[in-house]
Amino acid sequence: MNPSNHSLFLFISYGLGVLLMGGFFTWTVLDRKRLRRLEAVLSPNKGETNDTST
Amino acid sequence: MTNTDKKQFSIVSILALGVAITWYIGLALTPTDQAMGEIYRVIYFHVPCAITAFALAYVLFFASILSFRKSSNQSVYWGRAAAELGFVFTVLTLATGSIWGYPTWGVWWTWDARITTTFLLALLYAGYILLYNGLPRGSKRTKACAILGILIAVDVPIIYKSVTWWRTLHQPPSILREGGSSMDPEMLQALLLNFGSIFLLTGGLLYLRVVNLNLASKLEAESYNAMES
Repeated sequence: MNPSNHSLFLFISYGLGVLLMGGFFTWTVLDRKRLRRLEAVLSPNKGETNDTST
Repeated sequence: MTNTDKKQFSIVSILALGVAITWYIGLALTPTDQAMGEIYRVIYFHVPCAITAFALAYVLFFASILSFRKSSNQSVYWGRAAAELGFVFTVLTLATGSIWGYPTWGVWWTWDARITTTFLLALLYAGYILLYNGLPRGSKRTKACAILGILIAVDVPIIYKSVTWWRTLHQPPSILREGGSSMDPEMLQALLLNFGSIFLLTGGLLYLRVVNLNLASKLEAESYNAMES
């Protein structure tokens, strides 16, 4: 195994981490935005006062 | 998005920055391993991912137990969020393990006991998500998911003990073992820092997903009521 490939393998490993964990975070943000838009349509008078925290 | 949403996302972004800093420590500030060379630095991501995937199986386990005892949907949402993140971290564990395995063992994949039982964990997490999505909301879904959630936790001690129970290609434990850790203290400190940062980020992501699931459930009920009236 050529040691110069180690850097490439490390880049792929950590890059996958960025992709999957970052992807999960981005998906959560986009989903929240979608849900808030839906909430505004279903109950337009409630606005910012809605607390959905657990 | 509300101000609370923005605050939550900002906090999780800071936690992600913490992960980036501990990655830097592991990748740039720790000594190189004499036997494996630079590729050993995968350890700072591979091992925290594996431990997180196992820890999430116990979050799912306790959420499943609670969902049997309580009528509230909260525990079901915690279980669902834990299964999603558990799947992500198990896939990352398998992928980084495979990338680490090729230069050290000469193979990308082998049906070794540790790898096979971890692969089974990924399948079980995926099965939980499919079961949750496939069944209509109600006590039947809650019970079916709770049973699977409990079964998933059974796989974790098998994964952990697989390297001692069977002859495997995967190395035996090097941190939690008799006689103490065999790791260099500097490397061990960096590994523990990476554990901490990944754990905190996972906690943040888990909470964000539970809030989303609660909101989705509330909106589903509201739209149902609107259609009824």
